[in-house]
Amino acid sequence: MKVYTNAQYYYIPNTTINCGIKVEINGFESCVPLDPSNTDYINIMKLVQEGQLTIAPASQRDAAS
Amino acid sequence: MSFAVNGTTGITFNDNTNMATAASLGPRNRIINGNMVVDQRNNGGSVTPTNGQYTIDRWQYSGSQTSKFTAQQNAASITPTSGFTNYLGLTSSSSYSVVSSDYFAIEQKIEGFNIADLGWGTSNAKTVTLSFWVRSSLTGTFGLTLRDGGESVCFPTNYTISSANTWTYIQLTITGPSTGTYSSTNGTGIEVWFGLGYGSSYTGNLTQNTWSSGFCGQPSGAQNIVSTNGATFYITGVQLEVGSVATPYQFNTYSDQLSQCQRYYVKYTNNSLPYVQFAIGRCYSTTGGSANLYFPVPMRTQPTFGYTTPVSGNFDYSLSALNISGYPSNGSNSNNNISIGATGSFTNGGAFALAAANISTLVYLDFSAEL
Repeated sequence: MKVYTNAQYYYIPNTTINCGIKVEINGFESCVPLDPSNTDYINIMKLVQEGQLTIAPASQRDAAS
Repeated sequence: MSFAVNGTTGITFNDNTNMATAASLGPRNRIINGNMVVDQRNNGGSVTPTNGQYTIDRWQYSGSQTSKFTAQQNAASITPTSGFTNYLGLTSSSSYSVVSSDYFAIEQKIEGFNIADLGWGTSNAKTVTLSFWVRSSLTGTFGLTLRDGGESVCFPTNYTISSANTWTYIQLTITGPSTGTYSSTNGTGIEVWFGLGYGSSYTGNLTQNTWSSGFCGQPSGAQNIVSTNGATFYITGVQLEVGSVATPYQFNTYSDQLSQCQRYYVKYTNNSLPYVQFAIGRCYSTTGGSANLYFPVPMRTQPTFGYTTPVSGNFDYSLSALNISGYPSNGSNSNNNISIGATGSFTNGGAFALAAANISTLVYLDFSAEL
């Protein structure tokens, strides 16, 4: 499995709705959609379930004011 | 041209090629990019793949240790076997002694839509034949494994390379399994693993040429390419087809093959040129905008978005962040385009170009919907 680090949710612009996960995959900056068919999303959720990865909540500065 | 028909091999043409079943008359190959022509990620360059990283299109490296192989389209520029122009070359980077849990392989995961007719996992499972050209600096027995998409059962088999540094044609017939989990839609149907070296946990632990629970990479005594510094493993012409006879490799036009690959991965780059534009967007504030980008073909699923880190003037409009901001729906298919959110320096209500800055280094956006 690829290496996933520094995972954090982010919002759809001007909302507080999670849109995806920003994460480094093998060291490269990436955005993973919240799609249960996406392989990276499947891998991330597996790591979260196993306690090997934590996804930080979205930054409030991205939320609607 | 003459041909012969008999009850065993089907139709035999006068160049000694066979077509055993009616299925041979249509598109046959379930492997994509089996002749290793498409290399969107690296454009022929060498990489040291990490576990799970793709090399040339559709071919994924699996390795329990880092930095043990380099992978490159047409590595070392040897002459491909007759009829082919490309191959995937892997070269061992050290004389690594495997430990029990080690695994090293190059694999392709086949989408369920493309194998659903095989009936695998049922009592009506069809026999298939895997054929390919392979060349190695080592001789002996090499491991190969087919696995269900659910990764619960596998079919370990093997082949022999008798002459070093010589292209060898291999044909292996695999009985269809009645067990296992095989997607029939856009999940993983079948995995095909070409072994490059395994530890004792995956060596000789299951019966060869039989479907069993668990995973076995190779028989006892097989070659571990990873254990010889500079050892090579070159492969091309990989074909998986219905029936018990290997037919000639099914060539596609380059455009068709590229489109097949782009269902799983597409990459946009500036080719190291300044101001190359990827998409045009709207600015909804002085700091935020979004741009729509359409894919060449609908992707397998909503893709992962990778990109050059937007710092140090990589992108125009002083972009400081990028993300996926949505997947606009277009009729029944929502996987044919994407909205990319950008944070930068904009004019509210205006437009902006998602573009490389005035630089001569590589900037890219890529989208992966690999299995």
